[in-house]
Amino acid sequence: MTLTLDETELDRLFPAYLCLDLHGTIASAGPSLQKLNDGDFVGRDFFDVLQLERPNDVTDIEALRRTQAPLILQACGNGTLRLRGIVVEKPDCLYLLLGHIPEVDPTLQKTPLSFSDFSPTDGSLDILLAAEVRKALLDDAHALAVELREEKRAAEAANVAKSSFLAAMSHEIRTPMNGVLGMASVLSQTGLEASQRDMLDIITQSGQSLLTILNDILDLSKIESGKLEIERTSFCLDEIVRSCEALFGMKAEEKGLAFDIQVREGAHGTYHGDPTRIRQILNNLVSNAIKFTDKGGVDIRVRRTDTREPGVVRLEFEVEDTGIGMHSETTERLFSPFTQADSSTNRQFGGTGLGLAISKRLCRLMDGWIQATSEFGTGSMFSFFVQVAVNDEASLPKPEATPFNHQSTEPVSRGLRILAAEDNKTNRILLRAFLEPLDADLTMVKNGREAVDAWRIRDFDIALMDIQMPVMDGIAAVKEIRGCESRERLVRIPIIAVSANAMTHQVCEYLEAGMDAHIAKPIDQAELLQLIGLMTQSPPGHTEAGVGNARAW
Amino acid sequence: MYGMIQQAARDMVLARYGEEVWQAVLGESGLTSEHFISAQAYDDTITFSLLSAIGTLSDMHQDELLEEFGKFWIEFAEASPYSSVLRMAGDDLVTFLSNLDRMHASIKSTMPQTAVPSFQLLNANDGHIQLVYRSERQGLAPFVRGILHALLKKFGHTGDISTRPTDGAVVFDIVLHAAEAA
Repeated sequence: MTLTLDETELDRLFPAYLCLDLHGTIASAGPSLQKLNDGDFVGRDFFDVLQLERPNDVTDIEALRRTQAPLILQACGNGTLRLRGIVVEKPDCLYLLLGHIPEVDPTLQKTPLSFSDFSPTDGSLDILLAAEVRKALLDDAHALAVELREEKRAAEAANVAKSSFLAAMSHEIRTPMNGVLGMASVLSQTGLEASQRDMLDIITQSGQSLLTILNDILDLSKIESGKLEIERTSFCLDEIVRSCEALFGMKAEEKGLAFDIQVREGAHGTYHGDPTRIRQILNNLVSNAIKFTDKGGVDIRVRRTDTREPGVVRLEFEVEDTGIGMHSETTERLFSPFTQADSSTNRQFGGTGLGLAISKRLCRLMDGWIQATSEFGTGSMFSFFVQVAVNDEASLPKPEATPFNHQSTEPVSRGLRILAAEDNKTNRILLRAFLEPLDADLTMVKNGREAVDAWRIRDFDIALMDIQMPVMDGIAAVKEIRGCESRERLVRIPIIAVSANAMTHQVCEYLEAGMDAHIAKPIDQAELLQLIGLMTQSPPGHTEAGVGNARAW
Repeated sequence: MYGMIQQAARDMVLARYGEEVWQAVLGESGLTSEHFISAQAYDDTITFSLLSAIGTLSDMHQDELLEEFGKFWIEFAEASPYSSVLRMAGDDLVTFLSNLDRMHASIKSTMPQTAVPSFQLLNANDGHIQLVYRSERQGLAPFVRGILHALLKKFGHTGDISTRPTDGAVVFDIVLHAAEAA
């Protein structure tokens, strides 16, 4: 059977064909090549205008006529035009039945070709389209990544805004709550009937519970906004354990639970890290264990293991209970914020569901980890570790060096001349009540400007300075006072910063401004009185002692 | 349909009505994601619920909306990574229309899961063009009509387009205005 094609059919099937005479001169070309080269091919020697890439041993018309191999060729001087096909020998000529090789590199998709340049019998046009699809996929993926990155950024910004809002609101709620608790504290020192004292206890306990919730929210907000700082200070592990036992031993006993703490050999001793946060995690776990256990007991185990880093060890804690336990799916979401085992847990046991989320984040901040295993109806075991530096005994602070009894509220100094700057009316009333036992000569002002003015006209033994105040804040006031003292060679007045903003960098800022000590709101009356005693008995700048939440330098 | 349709719908709503309406469209259509991959096949119901929501919120009849969408489609495709495919389809209206079927054949070859329409150029003489459109999907002739209007504009023509159903297909009669007959 013989297939004969007329010129139109040949053009349609092989738009890029070439017909050579027996001397290698191009006699005719398909419409695609004629269009692309303005018919420039016709009449010219094949080897002058086209270069064979394959087969690479064909250099003359005779070799071309004999070859059975597929051809790949390109127009000389035009790298974008590449063709492939075969040689069909006829008695008086050679037909090169060719098709365009589509350029699949998207960056080179500047081809002058159009649909009609491609044969409908092969897939070359489809390959070109597939290359476009691939390019579009890459573009889509890139655009999607950009959009997702932007959405992630926006979500993070919204989260930070949420955290800031929560922090601000918590702070705002804490201020009046300080007033409530402070006044309750002052009231408790007055003569009350038994029933009144019971009511006052409920006010105090409820207020403390609310403060705990607020502190949780503040903690989580700080962590999520990256503002929570882990302290590096010397501490004694045994003290953390003892305080835990003191705090929860009685509660366990009240519920009829066994309560046992074991510190493995080798773990005792002193370390360098953040004892407050370690205590917070441990207390949270132990508190939960007791809360969710009605019979049996709670076991706490502490051990120390080495790390690869010299001088750094892991302190590992396990808190195991025989309580209600959890299903595995519950355990998986325990450490997410605002998540409790189930909604009934909140109704039955209360709490914000933030404790474990905070603990997890605190562990991470201390290069550690926290996990839980549990069996429903049998009990749970929470374990966590943090990395701390080993410490030598000599660098430990010695709390016993302070001349004050931590539990005592007895005034150390009486008749002191005290300047107190506080813009909040409730706090002023509270401060006045707290200082009552000192029988002090108290001058109360409402902002930093008034504090500086009062200090200029009167002598004071000590000043209590709020930080955020209108007109002039506490830092500016202290700077002005210190400047005057320096210029006029005046006796330096001890100044205690009084602020709810007690993060490490904030306290550093107060000290750099010229404060001598800091006490955090909510103010504990005993701590305040002890700190005032400490500051008025020891020359400022020469004392290094800690009293609860207060710090003096 | 492939995600390119959804992408175009999103761009059209954003360009003409803004972000707020687009978010409302997403809510109305029940779509959970606004990210579309152009070469990924999506269930037709997604596309139609999206278009239905746009029609509801833009207060446009569905046929009217589809025609507007067809006009926007060419604009969208020319700005997309597939612009070179459009360019290769032809430099004039008749060539372009004659290559429409081949373009869709290649799309079918490249994306075998998709159902693509077919186009047959019956006649292109004396300013009268007849194009036969066939599709497995019903009701999209207004979309094609919008595309043809956009192509007239793209190639510098004005003209009238009428449609008539015939044997499971739709014939588009395009009459170019006399001064610019193809």
